[in-house]
Amino acid sequence: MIKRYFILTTLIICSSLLYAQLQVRNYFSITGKKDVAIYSIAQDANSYLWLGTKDGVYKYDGKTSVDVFKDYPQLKQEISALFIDHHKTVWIGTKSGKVFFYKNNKLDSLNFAKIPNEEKITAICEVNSIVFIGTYGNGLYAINDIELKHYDAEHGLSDNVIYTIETDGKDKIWCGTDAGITQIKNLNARPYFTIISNKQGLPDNITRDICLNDNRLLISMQDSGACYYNLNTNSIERIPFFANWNLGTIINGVEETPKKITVATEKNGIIVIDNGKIGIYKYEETIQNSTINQLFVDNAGQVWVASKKGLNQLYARRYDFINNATGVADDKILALATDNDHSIWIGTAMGISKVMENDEGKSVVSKIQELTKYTISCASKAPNGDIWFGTYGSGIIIINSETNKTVLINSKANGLSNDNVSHIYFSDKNTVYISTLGGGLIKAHTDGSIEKTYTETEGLGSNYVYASLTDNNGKLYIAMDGGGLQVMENATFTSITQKFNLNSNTVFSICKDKNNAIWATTASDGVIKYDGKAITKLNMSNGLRDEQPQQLISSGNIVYAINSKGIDKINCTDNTVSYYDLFDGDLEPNLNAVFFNQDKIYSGTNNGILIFRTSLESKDTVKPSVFIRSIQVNYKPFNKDSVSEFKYNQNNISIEFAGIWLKNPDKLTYRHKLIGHEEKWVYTNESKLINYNNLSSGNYTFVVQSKNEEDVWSNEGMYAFTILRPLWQRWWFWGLVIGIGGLSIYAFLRYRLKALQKENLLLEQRVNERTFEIEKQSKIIEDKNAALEQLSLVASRTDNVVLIMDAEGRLEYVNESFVRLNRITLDELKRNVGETIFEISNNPEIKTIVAEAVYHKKSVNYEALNRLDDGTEIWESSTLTPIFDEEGTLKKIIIIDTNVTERKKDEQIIRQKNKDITDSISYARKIQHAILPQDDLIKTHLPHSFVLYMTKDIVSGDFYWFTHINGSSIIAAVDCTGHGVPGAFMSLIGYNILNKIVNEQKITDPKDILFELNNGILEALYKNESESKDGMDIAICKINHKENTVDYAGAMRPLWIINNQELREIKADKIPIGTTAESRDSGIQFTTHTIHASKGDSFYIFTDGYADQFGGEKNKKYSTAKFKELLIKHSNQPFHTQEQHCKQEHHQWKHNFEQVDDILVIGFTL
Amino acid sequence: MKNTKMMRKTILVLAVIFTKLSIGQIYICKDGNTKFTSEAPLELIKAQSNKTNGVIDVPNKTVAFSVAIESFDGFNSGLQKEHFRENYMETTKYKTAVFKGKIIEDIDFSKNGTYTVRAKGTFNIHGTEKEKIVKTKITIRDKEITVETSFEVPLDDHNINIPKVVNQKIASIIMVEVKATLKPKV
Repeated sequence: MIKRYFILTTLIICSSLLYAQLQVRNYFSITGKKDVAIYSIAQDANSYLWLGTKDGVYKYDGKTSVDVFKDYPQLKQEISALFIDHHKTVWIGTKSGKVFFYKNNKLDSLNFAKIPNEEKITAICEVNSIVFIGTYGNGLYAINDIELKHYDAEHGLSDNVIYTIETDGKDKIWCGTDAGITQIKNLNARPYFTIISNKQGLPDNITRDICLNDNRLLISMQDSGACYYNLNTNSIERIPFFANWNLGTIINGVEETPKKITVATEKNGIIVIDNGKIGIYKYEETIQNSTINQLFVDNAGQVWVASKKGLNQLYARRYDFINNATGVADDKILALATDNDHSIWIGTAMGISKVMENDEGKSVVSKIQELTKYTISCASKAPNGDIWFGTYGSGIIIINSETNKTVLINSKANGLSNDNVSHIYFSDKNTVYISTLGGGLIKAHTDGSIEKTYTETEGLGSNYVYASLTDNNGKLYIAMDGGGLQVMENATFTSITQKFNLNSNTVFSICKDKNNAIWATTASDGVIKYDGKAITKLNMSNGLRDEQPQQLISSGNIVYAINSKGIDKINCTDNTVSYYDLFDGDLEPNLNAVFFNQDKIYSGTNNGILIFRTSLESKDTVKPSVFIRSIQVNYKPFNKDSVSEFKYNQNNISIEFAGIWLKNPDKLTYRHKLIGHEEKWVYTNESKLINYNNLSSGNYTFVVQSKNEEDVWSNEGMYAFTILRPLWQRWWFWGLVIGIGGLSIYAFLRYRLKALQKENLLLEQRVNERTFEIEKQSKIIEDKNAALEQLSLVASRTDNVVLIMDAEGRLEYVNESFVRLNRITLDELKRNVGETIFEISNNPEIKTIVAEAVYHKKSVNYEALNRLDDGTEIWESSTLTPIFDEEGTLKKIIIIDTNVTERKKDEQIIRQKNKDITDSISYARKIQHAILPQDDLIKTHLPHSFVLYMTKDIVSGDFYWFTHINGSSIIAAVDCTGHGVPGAFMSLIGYNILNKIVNEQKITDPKDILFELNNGILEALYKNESESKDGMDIAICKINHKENTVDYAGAMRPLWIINNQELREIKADKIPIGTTAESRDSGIQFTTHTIHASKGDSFYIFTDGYADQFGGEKNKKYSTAKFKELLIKHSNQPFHTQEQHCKQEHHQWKHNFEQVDDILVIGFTL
Repeated sequence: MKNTKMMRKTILVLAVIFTKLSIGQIYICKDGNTKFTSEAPLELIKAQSNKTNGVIDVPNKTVAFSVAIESFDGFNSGLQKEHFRENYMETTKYKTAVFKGKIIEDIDFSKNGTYTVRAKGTFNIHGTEKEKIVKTKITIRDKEITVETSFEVPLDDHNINIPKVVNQKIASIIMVEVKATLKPKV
């Protein structure tokens, strides 16, 4: 234990108070749970930290973490190793010996196949696309795309327990094991193993970590600290610092530069050895932990510690404060200076203090007690090392920095023009300029003697002087309140303020840069730069955060403007401004209380002494990361790794970017622009989703950069995409359109030409047709004219009278025949008789005739008797024809009169002759009717009977015959050949013969009667002829009233008997009476049918006239069948009613048709 | 159940080692001394057992030691011993403390001398196993191997819970010392 403390003390003595102290941030709830142990750390290309914890893998961006594999239960276990290869595949090793790999959002596990593993995975690395996996007891696995190999202690490995694997990135790896280091080379072919162990001088075989840098391995060991293995000489190189090491196991060692090593012990903290300076950070004091699992240095040099409580971040800070917390009594530092020993002298309102480092490297503040009554305003180191303090009201205090002896210079004793001293400036080893508030500028010597005092009297712009400074040419520049900036050369004052018409007469502080230009802070002109020729003004528009920085100081090419916001950096060459955004709150720097020593700015502020290390700038050029996190197209997620060409209507592009700066995530700022859409950068303090809506077609590149608090911009994160032009905005489309349009126009013109040609042809054809039609019409007209001419000639020459009238009946034309016939011209007619047809016509019905013709639109014929002046009567047959146009309007009335006087006379003669004939026949009718039996006679003997007798003409060919002889009634229905007069003559012959046969010869048998009748007819008509044309059909019945029988015989005419709605027909002999001579010669016989009448029997005989009548709807014969139905239908009714029905039926059937034959029906009952 | 399994496993290991070594260079002991010291602000507790079993397989450089918890004696009081056994170590469930591992460094067991080596292995007590690398002094003299080692046992590492009321009397880290002389197995 004593040795340990000795070493610690030794280390601390070697350290420096002003070394950049590591700051600590602890993240003990990074997984959402408290104190979750972290075992492994890796970092991906976007700077995300991947954390292997006791229950899974988390991804951390400095602010938040996500459980990457929360949906994968197989990874809810201790993750002992993490590695991300150059393909961005994440390799995950577990304590249980499993290996998973995660690529393209897909998780898979490694199949160890024939060489299974159950030992903890301790290390994973990649070289030459081979992934090596170290295990804690099962040796080494090597995986490439083809196979999985295994190496163990029996195959060249120093030991099967592997703690770490380091690679040169080419063809070698080194495995740290329990038995030294195994170097394996020739990895792709036949591996070659070399063991580095005690035998090669390795202090400790248990090798916990290996770090390759500058062709040597930094080896961290179990119990012997760290050493190097030189790969050039293949020899161990001991590190003096670890010669007496007794701080336990070093689990990780990192060599960032050949002069800087950081090692993490298992229990005793982190040790940083930087260029001989030692920093020790004990876990108990920094990460609240006694042990750690892994040390990890990220790409920005931040040290991350995986501990059993969580994650810890150790980082070097650019600045420190020496203030009340470190022993400074008054934080309001009004004056600052450093002596030759680099001790800091502080002036406050309560006097002067000195800050030194003690043996432990801590600042020790010693106050000059006898000076506490002075209010210090400024301080400066004299060339001899003394510190000169200016005071408010007490002149100057000179302190010997070694002895602390003081000398006072004031107005009273030394002739200072004023005891309010604002600035002290040593221009060379003998000369000092003392600025006073009210006493002007005093030029003095370093021994305190005053050479000259410059006041307004001497041309000084103001007696209130804030600062003075000489340039490299010996010109003295003076900053004043009220006098602006003046330059004094050869005791002559020139006002820079007036020369360049500056607004402000107040200049607070000045400094010069490496180019001998003077920089000054003004009250209202910002920071001005005077290069001897011109003034350059810098203000907030140039990027200054405060236009009145209280302190200006230059180093190298930079002028530092220390202001309330922090430290702005002005590039002396191009005057560009940048700044450090390091501080969490505002600074309150005090006027001109600043100096530069070595690489540090010491600034007096109201919060103590700010010590700012400008030298760390080179390290802090590590860039933050920035990347495109996601893309949305038309507000829907889009795979940013896919082809980024969008249709013209996919023009709402959203781009989400993010940056990572693990050192100080809250200080990360961004700028972005969409090239092709925006000209200027857009600045923002947060990562976000940027929406670009309705982008027009074109090529775009979204560029984003992040910037850390050190004013270091990241590389550009980019996303290039193209929004395609719509079809109609593409050159080829218009080419196509123009082409198609041209073709269309050409085609149209061609079509039009063709159409015109066709139209012309059609027109020509139509013209020809029209011409033809016109010619035809002309021909027709000519023909019509010729016809009209002929008609006119006819009309004029015809014997017919022609009159033409207009629609009103007014006479327009009469022909010559009219003039000749009526012996009057048209004019005379109009003048003497009348102008209209109605006035000149002798026909009293003329109006009616005209109206009828017009109404029916057709000609009307009429005749009229015209009596001439000489009394001659002329019958005229007139045809009145109305002439209508195509629209149906009456245009003309034409009357053509024909002289029909002669025809009228002939008709008169014929009519007289007809009358005479008719009269004769009417008389014959009387004769014929006279021979017909009297109805009363028939009714007497046949009371239930009827005779329907309807002649076609005046006289008839049908007749009925009746006689009563010997108690029998004989009745016949006879149909003689022909009708009219011939029939009537035949009936007379038949009548006479029947009378002769029955009444004279007393022949009563019907067959005999017919026999005799036939003979009688033939005898009468055809004595000398063998052929006869005329005869008769007959049905004859002999009714024996006593015997109640009916004897029937018929020649061609049957007998119908109806009883109880049934008709029975007694057919006649097919022998017409008197038709053939053969019948007379051959002794033809007729048949008598004797019917014993039953009760209800009705008998009917008849000629063929009734059934042969044409009529009905189809003008057909009535037919025998219908006649039967008629008689059956009414057979039960009285005979006179039956007669009426027969008449009525006949009239209905005949209707308007003419009766075709004589009709005779006889019905009776016994 | 788990602890019983572990016990069985330990005994099996020892048995295998003994069996295996019976045909090689095997050194054993059954009377090794194991001490522990608890140096707490209010009380110093020391106890020891002389019933430590040990075996070294020289060709394979493997070692194994075990001691029955109940064999410890020398507490400041009987009550203290009872608490040690029943409340802290729960000896009914966890009967032995076992270390088994291998010797990292190469030494020549055939030559007399004193060597400092490290034995790396697992230390199982109170049913909880923890890996340890313990520095060990090995003295070889006339075919006897004397092993002397000491190491720290943080109670937290082995889930040994001490009530708050006595945490000023019992240290959180117990120092353990082992000394055993092993002889070749006949």
